[in-house]
Amino acid sequence: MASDVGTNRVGSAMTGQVGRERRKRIVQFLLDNGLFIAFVLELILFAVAAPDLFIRSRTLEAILRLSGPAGIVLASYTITLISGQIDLSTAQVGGMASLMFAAVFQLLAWPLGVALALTVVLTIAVGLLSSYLIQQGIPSFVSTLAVGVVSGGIGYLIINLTKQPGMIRLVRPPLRDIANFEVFNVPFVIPLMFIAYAIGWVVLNQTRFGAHIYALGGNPAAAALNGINAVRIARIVLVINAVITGMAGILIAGRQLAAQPGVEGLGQSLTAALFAGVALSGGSGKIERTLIGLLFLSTLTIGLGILNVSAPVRQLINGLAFVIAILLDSIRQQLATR
Amino acid sequence: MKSKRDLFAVLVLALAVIVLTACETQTVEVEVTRVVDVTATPMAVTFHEAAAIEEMTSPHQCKPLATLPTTFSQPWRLGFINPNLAHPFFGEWSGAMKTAAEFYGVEFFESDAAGDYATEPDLLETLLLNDLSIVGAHGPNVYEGLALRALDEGIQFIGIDNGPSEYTPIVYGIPDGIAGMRGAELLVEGVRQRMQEDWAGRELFFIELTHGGIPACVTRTGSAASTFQEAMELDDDHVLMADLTTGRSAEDMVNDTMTANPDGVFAMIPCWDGLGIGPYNAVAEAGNEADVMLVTLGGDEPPAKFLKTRPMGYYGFIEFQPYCEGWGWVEVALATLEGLPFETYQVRKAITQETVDQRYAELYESE
Repeated sequence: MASDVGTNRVGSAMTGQVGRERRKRIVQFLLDNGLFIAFVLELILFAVAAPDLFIRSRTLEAILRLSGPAGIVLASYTITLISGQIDLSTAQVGGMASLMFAAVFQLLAWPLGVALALTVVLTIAVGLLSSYLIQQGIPSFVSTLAVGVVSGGIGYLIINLTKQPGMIRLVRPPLRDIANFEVFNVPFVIPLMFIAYAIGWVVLNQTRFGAHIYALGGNPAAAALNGINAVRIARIVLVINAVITGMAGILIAGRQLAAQPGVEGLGQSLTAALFAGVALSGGSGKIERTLIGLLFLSTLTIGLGILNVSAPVRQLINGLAFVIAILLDSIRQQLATR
Repeated sequence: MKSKRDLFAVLVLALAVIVLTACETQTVEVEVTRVVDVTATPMAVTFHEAAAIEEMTSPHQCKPLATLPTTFSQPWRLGFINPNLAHPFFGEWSGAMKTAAEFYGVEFFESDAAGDYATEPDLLETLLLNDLSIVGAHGPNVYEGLALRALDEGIQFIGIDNGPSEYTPIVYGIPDGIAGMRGAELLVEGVRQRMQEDWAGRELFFIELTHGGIPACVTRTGSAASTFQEAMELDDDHVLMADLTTGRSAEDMVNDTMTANPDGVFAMIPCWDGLGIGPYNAVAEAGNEADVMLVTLGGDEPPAKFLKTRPMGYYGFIEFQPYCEGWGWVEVALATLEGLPFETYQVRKAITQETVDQRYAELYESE
């Protein structure tokens, strides 16, 4: 009798453990593939709700157009996040770079190459400033927040010094032709975005530098013990991110024909990356998945627009998407530590 | 391995997207060719009558900007990005545009930027999916990019209150120079009265409250400043500017100006109502209401309601009649599509404390 009770206890304990394992596997499966499932569901939802408008190659093009410049930034942003750095300066750095470029290229009428070179130098300086602050022990999100404020200030300073009315018109050829260039009827920014992702994938998965980025983001102390130069890697990553953000800012300004202090559309990077499973604490995540995260958010924007959802509700949904992305990251962290 | 599979899937998706998008032919011709069947019996073309439109738009009684036919050559589809539906002025645009589109029997699609102009390029992408015939927007910093993007799609762009652009031949909206001038004329009327009463012997300043990033504002308040300066014979030192592009609030700039000139009296004209009423209230709060006189430009319900309370220094406003401006945009868009002539929008009404009760009753208490 006693042995039966013991066997039952062991049996039920094992059943409970199996159940927990199964639940954990299901949660893990959903975390690993939830984004793909959500993306497919989103496509089906909008396709059913507005079949005439949504199921068209033109809609797909609009989604990709929306993703283009932000996608290029997201590729480098993902690498930055995996390395354990959170960069909150993208919108301001993009704006500052576009204003610097516009002042030199449009107002001073200097050659395109010179304007680009000067802008690159400025964005490198911004990236170096961020990495210097981080080196001083200041968390990256605080350092980059401060650098973002400085970049915004530089942007306004450029406007004031050039006596421009809140923005700089950017209409001098050939920039607008470059920004709006199309390859086989496809805006060139779309293939450029895929190229950025391909380069990012190669860097992260096929190079020693990529392995060091994962190691640094996952466990900085262990990485340091293994001889990885954390300061150097953080510096390179932040500088590259600032330069790419600056170039995307110029691209957006070129398409909008105006350079302004802040660049809308670069702020989605964090949400898209978290959705895609890149850990906020660094060390894990796959760059190719962030592309799906970005497409998910762009499809959401276009889809809600097609359904004529009012602006406050759109804002609410975007906010909820960010909340869900943070929650998913938190669940992933908890599962990883169990 | 899994990572490589993911990359492969993404690349296949990318390739499919590019091929699919490239395969779609794009129409680049903007011009609409009309085919006329000369053998057919000519049909009598009837036009909407101005009186009917004035009655339809009562109590605003909008004067039509174009004589439009009752039947159009094509089922036109109009699109507009409203800067902020929650704003009373822009809300009036929206209501008028929808009613006008229904009146003229065309489809109208609208997006709401909810006060964030920077979102307009993205909103345009969505709006363009509706196969529009023409599109418009109000966006001081972004409208040229919008116009260029519309041209890429082979359609015209007609903005409101944006200013000129090399990407669209049509500049529609408030005639800013005239609006500023009329505002200044109204202000001169009020200031001259005060100069003979409690402001006699005081040093008069003019404050131009503007936004240097908005070309329409620069023209509007610039015209007001020069008209006022000339009429009141002020030297340049007494004509001051408070520009929002400096990053400071209008309230702070007006307060600083008054502190720097403690014996002065101040006449103000803002680019839009709120830009003047905010600083006015701040001045009143500080107990200096007697030293300012304000005329605003715009004139939707909030300033009318405020004027009804008879604030000491709020002399009146130039009413832009936003409902008629929105209605007129539809008419100008349809006239452009049909190749018909149209008139420029006019600003007609100056409302003061003496006339505001009657006007308010007409517009907001008639239902």
